[in-house]
Amino acid sequence: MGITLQHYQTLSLILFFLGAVGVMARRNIFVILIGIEMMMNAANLSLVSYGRFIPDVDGQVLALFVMAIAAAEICIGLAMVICMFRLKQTLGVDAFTRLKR
Amino acid sequence: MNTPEIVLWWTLAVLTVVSAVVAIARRNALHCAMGFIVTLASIAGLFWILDSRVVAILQVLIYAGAIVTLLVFVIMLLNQPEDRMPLDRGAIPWIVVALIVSAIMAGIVNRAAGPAPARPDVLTYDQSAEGHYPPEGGLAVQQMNAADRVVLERRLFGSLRQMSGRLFGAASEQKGDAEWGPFMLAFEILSLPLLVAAVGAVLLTKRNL
Repeated sequence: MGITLQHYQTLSLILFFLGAVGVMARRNIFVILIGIEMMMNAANLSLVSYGRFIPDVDGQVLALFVMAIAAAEICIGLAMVICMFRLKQTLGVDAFTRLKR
Repeated sequence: MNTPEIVLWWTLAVLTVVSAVVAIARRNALHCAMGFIVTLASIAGLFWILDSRVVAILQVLIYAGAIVTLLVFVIMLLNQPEDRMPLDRGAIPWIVVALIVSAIMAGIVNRAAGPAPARPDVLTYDQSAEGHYPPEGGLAVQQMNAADRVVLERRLFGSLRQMSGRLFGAASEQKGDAEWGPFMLAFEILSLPLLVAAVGAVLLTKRNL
């Protein structure tokens, strides 16, 4: 059996689910950021595989844009992590629950 | 679709999933980052066999080369000990919900993608009719016979030439001048979030504004 679009889409969904688990179940802020990036990679994989199977090269072009925005986002995210650390001296997200009150 | 390609795909897919599990499940954040690098590399391999060499190379350059590098720098800069907190028990219902939703999504996507479309070995879509830029470089190519042209189109799919044609635009020999590509505006506007991110990162971490 050849590799079809469904193979790629299922792999993308598995990757997305793993990224979501990383965001939900871990308390270390770095692992949460890695989970967010993993979800973006899953979306990229889905975009590019659809672009290959239609075929339409715009899937790859959109993947490029997603990649650039992910780079900008992680830059700001890490700057915020450094600020968080300066404030609370810990990297567990449990220390940052002031919005709950 | 031949056996080496199938083996390659399954190898890359299993490597991706295993390294993704490592990337979210390790106690040490640096181990997670290393697992994530392997995930990114295997996804780049998947991009390569999807005929998108530009995106594969940029994945390695930007993601594994800049994003994860920055992440590792900050991890080592803050140098915290390992995460001693146990797994968040309160997240298990949400993980189950995510699993159910992912399964439903997989069912929907697999149904919506049609009856197992095979990867097209020969790309015969008419680029000029859809408003895409012609992949070839001029009238000489348009006078090629159909078989050679199909081969050329297949080689050019996902190539840097076609990507730059979509992004920036291509010179057209018929018109004699260049024309903007369909994504030119988005490409230029994309520089704005990058600039804002760079300036914002410096501003956020300054102690005395």
